[in-house]
Amino acid sequence: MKKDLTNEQLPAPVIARGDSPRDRVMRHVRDALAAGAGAMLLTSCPPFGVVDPLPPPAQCRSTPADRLTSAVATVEPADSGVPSRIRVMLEWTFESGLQGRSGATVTGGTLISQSGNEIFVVEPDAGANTFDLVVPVTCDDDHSGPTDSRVKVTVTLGGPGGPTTTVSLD
Amino acid sequence: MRRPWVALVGPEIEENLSLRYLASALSRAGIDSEIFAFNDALQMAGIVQKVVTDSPPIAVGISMAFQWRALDMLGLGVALREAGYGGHITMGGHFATFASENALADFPEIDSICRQESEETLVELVRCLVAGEPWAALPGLCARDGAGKPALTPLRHPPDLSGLAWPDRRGEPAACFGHNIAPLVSTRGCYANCSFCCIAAWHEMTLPGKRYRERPLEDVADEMASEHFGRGIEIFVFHDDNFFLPSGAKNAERLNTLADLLEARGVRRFATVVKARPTDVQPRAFEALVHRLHCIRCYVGIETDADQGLETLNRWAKPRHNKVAMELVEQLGLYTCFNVLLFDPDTTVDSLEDNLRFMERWADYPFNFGRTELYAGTPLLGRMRQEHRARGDWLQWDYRMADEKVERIFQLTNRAFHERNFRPDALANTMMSTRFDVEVVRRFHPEVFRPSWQAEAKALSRALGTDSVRGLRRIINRTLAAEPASGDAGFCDDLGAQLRATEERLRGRAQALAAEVHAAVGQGLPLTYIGDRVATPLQHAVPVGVAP
Repeated sequence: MKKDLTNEQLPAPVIARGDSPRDRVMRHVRDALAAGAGAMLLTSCPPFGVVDPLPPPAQCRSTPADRLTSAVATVEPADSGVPSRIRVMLEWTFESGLQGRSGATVTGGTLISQSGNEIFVVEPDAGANTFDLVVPVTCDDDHSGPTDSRVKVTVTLGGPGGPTTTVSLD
Repeated sequence: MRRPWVALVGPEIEENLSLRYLASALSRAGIDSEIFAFNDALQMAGIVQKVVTDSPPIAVGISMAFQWRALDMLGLGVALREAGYGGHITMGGHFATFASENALADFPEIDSICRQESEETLVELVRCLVAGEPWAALPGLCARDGAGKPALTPLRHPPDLSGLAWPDRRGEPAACFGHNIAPLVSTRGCYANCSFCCIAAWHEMTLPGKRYRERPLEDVADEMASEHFGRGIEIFVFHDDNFFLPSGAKNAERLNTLADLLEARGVRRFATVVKARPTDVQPRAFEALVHRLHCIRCYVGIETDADQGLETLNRWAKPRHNKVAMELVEQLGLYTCFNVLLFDPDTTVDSLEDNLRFMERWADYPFNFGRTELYAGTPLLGRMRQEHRARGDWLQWDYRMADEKVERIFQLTNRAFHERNFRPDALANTMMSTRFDVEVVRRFHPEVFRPSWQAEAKALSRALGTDSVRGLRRIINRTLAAEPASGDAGFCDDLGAQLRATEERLRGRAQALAAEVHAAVGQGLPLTYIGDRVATPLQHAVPVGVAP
């Protein structure tokens, strides 16, 4: 089905608070048990001799979706020559340690291009009403928070106001 | 077949007194235990392997004292169940106590939480488990009721410190230049009630208004003598929540009495390490501390030198108390170090500047700085929740500063300084070790000690401290100049690169100083080399990549 898309900016996303304490602990267990392979620095104690060690700030330990301040889906300008493509723009808060990782994936479409961790151009599959853009994010290796979170942006096409976005943790 | 035993799991960078008091209590009751060090998440799989064996423990006790390690500790409970462990899993410690109901509600893998000081609770729990008797109604627990919901049983009166078995000292002690080190406590609790402090909140639960208890000094001296003559301990690190009592006169009397008792027991070649609030730093007590108890380091809990911060944190002190305390330790030639909680919910740009001036003034002494965190059970968390400013959930609370400019300064600071302040090998931490090395040699090897080492150690602290202050001022200036936020990431990258370059240079100097001291002393290893690889028996450390 041919989409009839309009180049409209959308309201701020709905943030799904699905990242419960249990979710975070389960993810941490998975990371910790897999880390024997050697990849990541997780939590660790300060060295001997340090008095009243200051803990790192709690940032980068809670919901990565909270770091996403807006997710906006727009139709690629017609003069691009490819009107069926969707540009998804993510705006992250500048907070400690949150880093984008390579490896964004799309279900229900094809990732055409990616600029940093903020701009993604997606070509939806023919006939698809939605697609999911999954963006890996992490605290950098100096931080001890979750290292393998994925923010999922679900883009719904063809609504009366143009595409809409819903953000959740994958 | 092996007798029923208990696995005690927690941080063991040094001898973990909380686990070791529990091990002693179990031992006195005829129950075996093993202590498994859990210093970082990478050890999780190894601990699971040690527990899930042909003779698994009847119970696993996991220390969840630190909120920032909660992911590890709860995660271990989950990992044990996933690996098939079928015994009892209990947790304890400050955070576990305050978060007990949440933890049990969200983690069916955990059977119980031993709330508050648990020498008696854990022993009774294990006895019930061994006998196959009901345990959920024991005092001091959080357990599930008949409907499976978390339920608290009444707290116990905290144990009589004079009756506790001394902490288990299995294995070899840590050492600095071959001088053996042991932690101990002479009190539990703290008379003050800082708004951010979970220790004060914890002791307020069982001893409202007083919040601290003392061990008889004879018992303390006996333990020190036993350690000195039995294990060759020469450096006693007092891990009291606060080594001092509310009265300066009583402190002086108490410290002189302890010195007399040690002398009577023949303990002469030793050193001590303590912690104090600024208001505790008074001449008579500190003269006894330095001259009779041979204190070589006193951490002074400055926390903040801003009037605003002192009020927000309920510090019971004014900037003049901080100044007097620092001046006195300097006059006494006593090495001190301190932390500054530069950011709190009410921090202003003016209060930041107050603290920067303090850090600059006292940069001869190693310090670290960070944000006041919201700990479970504390009045500050209660306030922030009431004001709807606490973000997150029971596992971890976050917040934004009330002043948006300060919040931006904090974000930039955290980004640029995280490596310097919070990595396990952070230079702010290494500097404390280097200075400690020099003080150990000054105390125990006066024949080879060179004043130039102390001067270099101070110069290193000053170089790092003033560099931090310069970096912080750049961040403040950028924010006050309303530079566009779009450039913040690039700014932090640039500043961070400069900070890393300074750190590399200073770390090299610290290693060179430690090497020079090491060569002169000719025994053992300095802490500067060892860091978190201190050779405790539970963490057999082979120094890796020892500096020249």
